[in-house]
Amino acid sequence: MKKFIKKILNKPMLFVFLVVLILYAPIALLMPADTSLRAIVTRIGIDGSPEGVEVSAVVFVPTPNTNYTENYKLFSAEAENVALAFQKISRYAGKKIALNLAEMIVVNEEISSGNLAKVIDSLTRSTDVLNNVPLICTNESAKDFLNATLNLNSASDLNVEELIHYSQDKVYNTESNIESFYQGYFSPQKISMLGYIELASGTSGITTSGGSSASGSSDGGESSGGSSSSGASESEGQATSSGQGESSGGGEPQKKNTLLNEGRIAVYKDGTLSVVLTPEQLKGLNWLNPRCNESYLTVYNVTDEVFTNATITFKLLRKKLNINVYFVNDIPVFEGNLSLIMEVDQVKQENLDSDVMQPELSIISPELRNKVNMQAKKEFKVAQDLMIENKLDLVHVYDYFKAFHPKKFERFLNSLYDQSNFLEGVIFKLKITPHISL
Amino acid sequence: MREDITPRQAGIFCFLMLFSSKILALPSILFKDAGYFAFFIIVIFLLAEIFFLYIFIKLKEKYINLSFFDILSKFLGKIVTKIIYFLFFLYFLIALVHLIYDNFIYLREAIFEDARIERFFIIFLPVICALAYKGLNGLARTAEFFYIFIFVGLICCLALGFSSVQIFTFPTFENVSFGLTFGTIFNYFFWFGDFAFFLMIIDKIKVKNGFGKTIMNYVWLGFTLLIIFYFVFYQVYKNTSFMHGSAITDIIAFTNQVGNIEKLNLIALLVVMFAIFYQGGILLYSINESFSKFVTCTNKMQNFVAYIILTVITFLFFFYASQKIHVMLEDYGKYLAIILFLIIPIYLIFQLIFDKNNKNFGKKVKNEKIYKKDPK
Amino acid sequence: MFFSVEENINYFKEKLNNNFDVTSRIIHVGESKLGMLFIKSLMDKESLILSIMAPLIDYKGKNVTFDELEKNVLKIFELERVDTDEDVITKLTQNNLIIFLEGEKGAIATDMEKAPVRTPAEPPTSSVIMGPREGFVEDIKSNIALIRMRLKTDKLILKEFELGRYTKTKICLFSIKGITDQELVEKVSKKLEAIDIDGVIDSHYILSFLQEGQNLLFKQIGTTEKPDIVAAKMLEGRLAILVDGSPIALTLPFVFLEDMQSANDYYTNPIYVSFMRVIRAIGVFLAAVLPGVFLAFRLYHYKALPLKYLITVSNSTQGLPFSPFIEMVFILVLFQILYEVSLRLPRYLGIATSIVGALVLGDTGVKAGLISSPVVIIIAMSIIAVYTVPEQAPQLTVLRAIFILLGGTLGILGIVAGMIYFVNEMNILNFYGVPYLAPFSPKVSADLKDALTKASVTQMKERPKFIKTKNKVRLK
Repeated sequence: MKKFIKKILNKPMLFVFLVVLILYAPIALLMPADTSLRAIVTRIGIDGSPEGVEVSAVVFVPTPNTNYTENYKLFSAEAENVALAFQKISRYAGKKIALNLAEMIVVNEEISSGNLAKVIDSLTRSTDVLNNVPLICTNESAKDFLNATLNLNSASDLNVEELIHYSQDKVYNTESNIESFYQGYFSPQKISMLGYIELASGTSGITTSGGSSASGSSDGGESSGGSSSSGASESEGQATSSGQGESSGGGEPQKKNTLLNEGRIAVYKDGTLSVVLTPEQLKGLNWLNPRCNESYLTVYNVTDEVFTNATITFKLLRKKLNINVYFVNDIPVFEGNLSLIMEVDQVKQENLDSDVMQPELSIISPELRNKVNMQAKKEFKVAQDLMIENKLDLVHVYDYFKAFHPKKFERFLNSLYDQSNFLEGVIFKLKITPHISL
Repeated sequence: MREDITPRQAGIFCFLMLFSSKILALPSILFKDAGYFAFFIIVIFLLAEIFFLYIFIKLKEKYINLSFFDILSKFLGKIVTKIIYFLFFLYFLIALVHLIYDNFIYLREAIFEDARIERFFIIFLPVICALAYKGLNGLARTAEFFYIFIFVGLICCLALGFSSVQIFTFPTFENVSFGLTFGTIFNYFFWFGDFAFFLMIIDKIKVKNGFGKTIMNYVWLGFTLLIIFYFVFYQVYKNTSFMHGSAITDIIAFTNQVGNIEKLNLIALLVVMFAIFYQGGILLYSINESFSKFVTCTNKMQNFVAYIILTVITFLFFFYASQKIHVMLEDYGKYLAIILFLIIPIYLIFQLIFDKNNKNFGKKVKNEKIYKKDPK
Repeated sequence: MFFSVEENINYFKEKLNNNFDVTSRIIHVGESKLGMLFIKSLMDKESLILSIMAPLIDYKGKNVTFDELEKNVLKIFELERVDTDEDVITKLTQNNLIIFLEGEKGAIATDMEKAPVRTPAEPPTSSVIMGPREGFVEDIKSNIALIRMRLKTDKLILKEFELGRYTKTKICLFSIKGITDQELVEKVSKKLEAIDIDGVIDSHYILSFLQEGQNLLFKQIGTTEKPDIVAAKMLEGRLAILVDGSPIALTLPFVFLEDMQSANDYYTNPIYVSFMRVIRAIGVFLAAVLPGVFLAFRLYHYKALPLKYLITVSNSTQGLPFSPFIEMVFILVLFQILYEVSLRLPRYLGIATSIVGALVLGDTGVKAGLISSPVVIIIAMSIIAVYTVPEQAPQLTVLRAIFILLGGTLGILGIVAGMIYFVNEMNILNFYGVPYLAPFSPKVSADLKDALTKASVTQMKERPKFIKTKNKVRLK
């Protein structure tokens, strides 16, 4: 015994290593891969339901193959809240739900009409779902949306996650994820913006094949057995494997299986859906968005030395935005000074001559400058009216004034009857200096 | 092997200890209490810590070959010194257990789903025991070896985090007051005893010309990185900073390339995993040093076994005890921290200034010959 | 020893068990009787005839004495008088020719060995694209010559030892006066002198005695087959040991960094060499840690993997009969068996084995659904990466197995813990007073010029600081 203890004391780490092996190796030897024990959720959808919420989850199903086919199944469950709904989905799938790899969360307008922050509270609290996961809003039910995306796999070039990433950078020019939602929710004005992608019929947008086999090309046998691949009845918690959109009823003449990104954005105030901006309103808003660097501007009826009654579309290459906030006679003025670098993209004119057809327009005439100014202001006016009408401070007027003129702004707010309507008393100015890119 | 470390190695220890626990939950916790002013609170805290480290270095310059126990015994007598060393022992014990617990929570959330604390303990404790038991020299060299990887990892995290910042905003300091500031500082004092270990190894640092400068260089580097870290974190998350308990991982969550590369948090995880072993090793070594001063064991092994058992008991108590006790321990921890990291350093400052035998204080060291004489 | 030649010959033949290859010849030189005894299998017959027999037969004198033979008759350089039985037996066993003279006690011994010796050729374990291609052989005399060709200095010190009760193997310790630390030389000499073993067949027998401490995993003594490397290492302050019968020279003190450097590095562009050394470092890391990391991620850390990667791996590994851990161990054992077979198999069967191993076991196994391609790729990468630093192959193989066990049981944290533990173990090693991981830890900035990166020869003005030497200046 003494010899044994001495041996241990001479090489204690070897002893520890052996103990660890004895304790854990037998289990580890037979343990299956982590992914076999969990249902990897790649997309999440949340709808309202009589019970509370209906959560749908697109689950990745590993299937042996050598041609890069991915198989997904859609599970959904209704419950009082999202956490309980996921528990139910775990039961239906027979595996523990893994949300860490979710790439998208969709909510619909119905659930957004309540306080969305309370609905998705579980997703942030559990820390499984990362806060950078895109969160979008859709017109139809989230379940139908996810059904339509079943055929889109992550290896394909056309998938909804790429669509959202692109939109964040080039269309919305703002983040549309859980973190940005909460940042807006906890900001002084409590305004958040989420991307809005519609589920429509037609061929514009990303059209999916309607999901007759939701498992992709190689798995027809498994899922073609009906709408319920797990054998459960058609009530809450069925594993819906077909992309037929059966929850929308069997009698619809046209399947909505197109993901249409019109460039709309949903605005939430205090977690509740307030308005969905049209593309024109979003475009107007983006004039005062420092992140927006690429856009198009079309001016009409331009007549100068070069053009005659032309309609010119400019491509905006770069934008330098300088926001000034100041008071004039105790009235707050929100001034945006824009320096635009543009290039001519399209000219539509009755007679096209050589001057018009030259590839680069190097000088911008006063007339053209004026037209650009007016058009930009006109576009912004649309957004301004929306902001005032819906009492939504989408350009951070409040934050700017609080940062630079806190006391004056406080006095201004106190002087108002309805402080939430302060935008009405703010003068918006837009000064644009366009330059042509050489 | 002689247990002495170079100033560079001591500086690296200071660098590593600066980052313990400060890059995980502390940013969000501070923000919850103090809003954007949390950034200035952390600056104040760090500057205070660095000032006290400077005092410790001056102490070393004056009493070159003496251990901290010998220095304190000179002023306060052996019994009081033993009591202080007992307090240090308690502090290091709580700090180590806190380190294990915090990092376990972080790693369990990050990658170790379903892991139990025992597994974490089985991995962690033997290795830090080996690091501490094999001597300071080995620990210092290993830290020196991996330092560059930890440093590069931190820089990567900061660079990626910096690229996540969309727009720099000006923070508002509404509701900031003197009371709030110092109330917050008081509540979180426990988190700022990073350089306490320095007193335990003060006699083991090789004295060379400019050794203090070498150590301070690393400390200032760590300070700069930490300040940038907090700045970037608060700029990335702004008013939702309180929601992010794993700051170093969350800081890189919004990097622009994430959409394509997807998972960059592995960098942060590896930095934390490497760093916690060294932090644990340093704390366990400090436990050893403090324990051996107030408990006389003839055998190094007996000593070692004794405090390992105490560590395990404290840890189990901390982890399995009720939430109330957990909070109580942290609460009393801050009083302990105030005694050890405020009162004692201030006392040391007075001793350094007013000690009659002090001839060299404030003078620059010109050559090595000064150090060869024992000041006794 | 007797005065009679026949008696001497019979006596010593009996001492050598009357082996058939112990040959004797009695001739008359003048009026003297002369007896020769030798072991014919290793005798240089040509020299025997020309240098010994011919002069003896041509001798015109009346009587001959040992003095006469030594000074005037025998045309040979090395001659030694032996007076005791033990000396005669030792010389006989060392393949010397023993000459007895009638009426005189004692004998003359002369080295007439002609053992089968290889021509110095490029060693198979370290080939170079540019640079010397000579390698050591089994004959210590040739090896000594190879070193002397490179170190033409009077300061070269050779110390000879004879070890092995039955093998009486010659060991030669090389050092350079003024460069090699004398304390080190004395320490090693004492260790060599203390060895009392029945036989020394190869330098690795000596290596075990020279190792300090009980650490057996990490290499403690440097080994090389190239004389230019030995010369270069000696100029850095190391000493070298040659063992008769072994083409491997030992150098010490040894640091881990040495195995990251190859002979080619000193004969190629330094920038390219720096790049390749970084690749080697990555190779070492991949070799030891990659399979364990992969296993850890598959078993415990799906969260840390990107979705696309997870999908690919999950699809490839779905439906396999083995668990990930068993699958990995199985493929690893398979590859190790293939490796072992490729070492031992005759060359003409090697091609067939490669085909069987690669195609049948690898490809067919994947198609049959027994093993998965990601795991095969990972193990293959790891095994190939071992040979970026072939000198550390045994250590890396063992470490790989340990890290697989750690990764499989404890996950990525276990691997990190293992890495820290092993690096710590390496850091507390001080073989012959030199830290094992110098110049990385403790950091010696001046020596980093020839560590992971390489500066040109013109910039390396001093010898490595981590090796104790009085004469630090290399380049003036």
